[in-house]
Amino acid sequence: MSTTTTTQPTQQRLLSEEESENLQTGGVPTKEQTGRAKDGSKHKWYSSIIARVLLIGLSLLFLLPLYWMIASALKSGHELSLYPPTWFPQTIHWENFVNAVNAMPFWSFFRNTAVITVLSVIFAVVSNFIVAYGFSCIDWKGRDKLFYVVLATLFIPFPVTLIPMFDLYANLGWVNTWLPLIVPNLFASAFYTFLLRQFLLQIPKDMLDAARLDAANEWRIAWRLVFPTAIPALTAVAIFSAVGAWNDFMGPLIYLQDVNVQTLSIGLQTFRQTNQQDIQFNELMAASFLVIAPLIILFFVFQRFFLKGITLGGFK
Amino acid sequence: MANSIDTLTSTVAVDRPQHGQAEAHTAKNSSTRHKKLSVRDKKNLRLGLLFISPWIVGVCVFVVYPLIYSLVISLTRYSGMNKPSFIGFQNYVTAFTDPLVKISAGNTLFYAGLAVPIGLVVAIVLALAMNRNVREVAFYRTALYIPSLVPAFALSFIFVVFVNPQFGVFNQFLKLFGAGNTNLLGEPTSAKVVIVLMAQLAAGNAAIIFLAGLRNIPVTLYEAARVDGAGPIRQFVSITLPLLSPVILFNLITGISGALQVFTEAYVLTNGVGGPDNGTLFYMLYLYKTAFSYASLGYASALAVLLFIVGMLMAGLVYFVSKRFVNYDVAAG
Amino acid sequence: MGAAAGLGLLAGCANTGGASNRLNLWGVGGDQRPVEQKILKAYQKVSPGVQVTSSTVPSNGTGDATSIITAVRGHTAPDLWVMDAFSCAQYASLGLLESISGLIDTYEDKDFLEQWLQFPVDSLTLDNKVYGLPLGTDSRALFYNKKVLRDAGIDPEELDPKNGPPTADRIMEMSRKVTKKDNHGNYTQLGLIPWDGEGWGYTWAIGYGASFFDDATCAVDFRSKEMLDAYTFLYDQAREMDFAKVDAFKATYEPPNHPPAQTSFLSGHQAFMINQNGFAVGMKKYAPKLEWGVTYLPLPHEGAKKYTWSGGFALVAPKGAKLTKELWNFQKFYSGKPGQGIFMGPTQSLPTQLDVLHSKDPQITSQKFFIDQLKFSVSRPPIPVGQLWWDAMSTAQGSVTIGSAKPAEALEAAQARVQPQMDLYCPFTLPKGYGA
Repeated sequence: MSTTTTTQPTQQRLLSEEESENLQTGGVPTKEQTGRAKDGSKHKWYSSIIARVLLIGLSLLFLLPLYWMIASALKSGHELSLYPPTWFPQTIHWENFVNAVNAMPFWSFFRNTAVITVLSVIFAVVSNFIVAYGFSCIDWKGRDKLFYVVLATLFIPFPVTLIPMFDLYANLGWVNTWLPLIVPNLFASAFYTFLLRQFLLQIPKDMLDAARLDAANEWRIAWRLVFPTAIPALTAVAIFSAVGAWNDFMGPLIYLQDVNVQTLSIGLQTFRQTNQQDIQFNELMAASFLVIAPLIILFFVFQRFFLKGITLGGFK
Repeated sequence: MANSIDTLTSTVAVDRPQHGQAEAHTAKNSSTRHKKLSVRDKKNLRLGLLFISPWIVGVCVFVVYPLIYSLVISLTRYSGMNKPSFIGFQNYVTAFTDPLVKISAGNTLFYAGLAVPIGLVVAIVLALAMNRNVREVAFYRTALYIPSLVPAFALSFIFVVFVNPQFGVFNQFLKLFGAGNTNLLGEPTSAKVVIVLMAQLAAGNAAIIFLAGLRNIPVTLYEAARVDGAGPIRQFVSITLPLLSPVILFNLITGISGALQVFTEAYVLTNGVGGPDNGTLFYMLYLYKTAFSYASLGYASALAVLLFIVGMLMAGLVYFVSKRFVNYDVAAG
Repeated sequence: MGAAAGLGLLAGCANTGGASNRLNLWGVGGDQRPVEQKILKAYQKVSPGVQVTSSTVPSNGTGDATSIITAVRGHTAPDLWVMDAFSCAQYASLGLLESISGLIDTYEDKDFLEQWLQFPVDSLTLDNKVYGLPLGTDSRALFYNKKVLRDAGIDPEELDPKNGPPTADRIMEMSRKVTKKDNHGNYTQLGLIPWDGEGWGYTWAIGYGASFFDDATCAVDFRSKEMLDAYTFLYDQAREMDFAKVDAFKATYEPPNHPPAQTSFLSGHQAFMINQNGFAVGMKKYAPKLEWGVTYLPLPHEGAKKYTWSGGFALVAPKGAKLTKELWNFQKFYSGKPGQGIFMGPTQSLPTQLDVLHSKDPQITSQKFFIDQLKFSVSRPPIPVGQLWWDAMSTAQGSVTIGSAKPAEALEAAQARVQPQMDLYCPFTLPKGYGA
């Protein structure tokens, strides 16, 4: 197998799911490499079982919070106060979910949150990709120095932005609308730009230059050549911005005062503050579960984009 | 043949400070700095600025404006209402003598010192787990990621069960060493450790970034290494880590940024009081209270400027040091 | 599109001041909302031309002014706001609230404010101007578990309120009898934990007779003898009971963020608890079989005066609200006899309006003991640095109970923290005749 560089082919193969899986079999670092010195190739069936056991164990550990949330949601108020707490509800109370939904204008909040989230994600993915491309795939004078500024903005503490930003939006008349929550996504953020840049910098310059020689304009190169390569990273950006928008609390708190425009996170908050002496814990857990359930489904569906990325290079 | 693994590792170098080819190109440019920009450079400059124009606009509105506002306000006494009154650098002087600033800064640095390294390790472990090629990997990925979706306050309800003095998991562990029932959240140091642990539940976020990075590594590299007899550990150290280095850098810097600004987890676990005995009064919490509970926006702005400076210095240091270790060549070899 | 819809919904939802037939209220939340709606409906009947909408705007807790500061600055504040009364003095001095003294002078008789209890009105007064009208309030008392006491050989009848308030010494003596530990030395049953529940340093300090602000020197007073005695009491008790063990006990049977029924008192592990009247409501609901009693807060020594303190809510007008007759009529209605008559019973808050306070409504008379205490209750001092002062009190209490500082040190630190901020508002005096 040659280890010298030859000219990289400018077209990529989109690996079929099967091919992709086959390729991964040998190359993916096994769990053992994090500290257990087992020879992966010789005892593959053996190590595969251990790996599975570890995976299942780890998953169960991380599933514990969700389990606890659902179990609490199904318990009666009385059972919640039992000491020590019971692992499995003695009686199942589905009505807690019904009550949770009825305690706030749930579907209205749901719709509002969904609209905000979808728009935020689209804007975030597009704008951050464009900006990250500019910071990584084009060589221009002063680029890396300017990038320090991007990094610096990661460290601006949010409380001091609250008042000046609110002043700005109030002057624009955007309070009580969704605009203060959605529009900032159009302007790229340090976090996502940094993230995408780290991936885009790994693209071989030869490939880009070859495309440029083919007289393709930069915009086309960005969207047709580079964008498909960055799908795993873009998936991460999409997931983060979706979760961020969905669970955002501070923004809706100060910008959305009218119940018609409020979001699920506000609904949850008012739930908590109902009566400090008398929080309906089980209904709160039911409400929380309903709020994150769409995110779980979304993640489950979209995580496959971590698999289907186009693998670049390595064609020897 | 026996040497090809070395050739591989040297091209994928950790030992040679190898910058991304982009940086090499820029280095070449800077040697011709004193000459006028070539046509191509001008074109690239124009293009580059065009592509990042959304960010430029954003930075002016969302960063420069609030930053200048904060800088100006930090030189005043201001309640958030009425008129600010100019007091020069008094807020900064106060910050250096305020015992709560020392305590909160100490708390935050303690937290960051634990949370950043632990967070990186946990995230890499999770990412490796998420990267397994098994049919049900979707299930594992989702399971490991779910706690990152749960709002912080809900997570805290669940986590307090783990730290119950009588039957909590952590306490059972400590009892093996002969400890009695202790309230881990009732002691300033252990409370911080509990918060670090609770934050690890959300390691799924950093993990999926590592996952994307792992996915970027060409499998042929591993194949070649295996053929040459490299064991799993050698593969991890010589291939995985170096090629993950861009992502490690990212998670390191954003990890530092997050840890320095830790707020929500502590808020929900201790009801925003910062107890016990100011043990979980993190810098950001103190800043927030100063601004919105004690109506000292001027002082809070000064604290924010100080945090900003410290954060930037740390990030700058990490970034600078990283140039030796971060490798952007994925497809080399 | 969402953005357009959001924009469209903007119409008519911001500060409606000026459109005098529409009023916007930041009202109560959660399960109190339906009761508040009844007030709005009742007002509809009386004033059909005026439409009042109530939104729920969650906050980050009392004293967190994020929502109100941004709203007032951005001119999106409501016309009226149901606010924790303790924040009034601070927000008023920041210029976040409108004074309603003008409205009272214009539309009402001189004795208008006398229809409410005096101390809540005082807590809404700053520089002789009134900034809101009182809503519901509460009061604190000592709850005890009759069965646990009996089992330890103590006759609960001794604690009956008709015998007057018990002394702290007597209560701690009973507590020692009730205390149980397991084989490993962990507490499984306790009597009174003095700093637990509503046993703030502030609570005990009132009992010891402390005054918290000196008009003459315009200074908060953390270092008075009475404060020192109160905090020394807490310090000594925390050492004697071993704070870490007590803390573990509480965290075991009453973890943070616990469900309402999971408290060490309700589960019968604690014989005494200092708490407010709302606690009784929880008990009836979650531990109906528990035999409990309630009496006055323990006295520092024989012969001291009965004491308690109250918090509560108020209806205020944020800065920028148009102080029209329509606004005033609604504010009067909501906070006065009509509104409190509808609201206080079902929500089990204590009324501040005197007619409602003395009503024969069984929902109100069921709280007779707590209501009677209001005669001698006080509220926290309405000073411009209220939140800072309260946090400093709590921090001092925390240090003293954990044992990281001696009482004198802790109080000195509190003084050093608060006084410089208070100085910015001097000269300043509390409302005339303000309690102690």
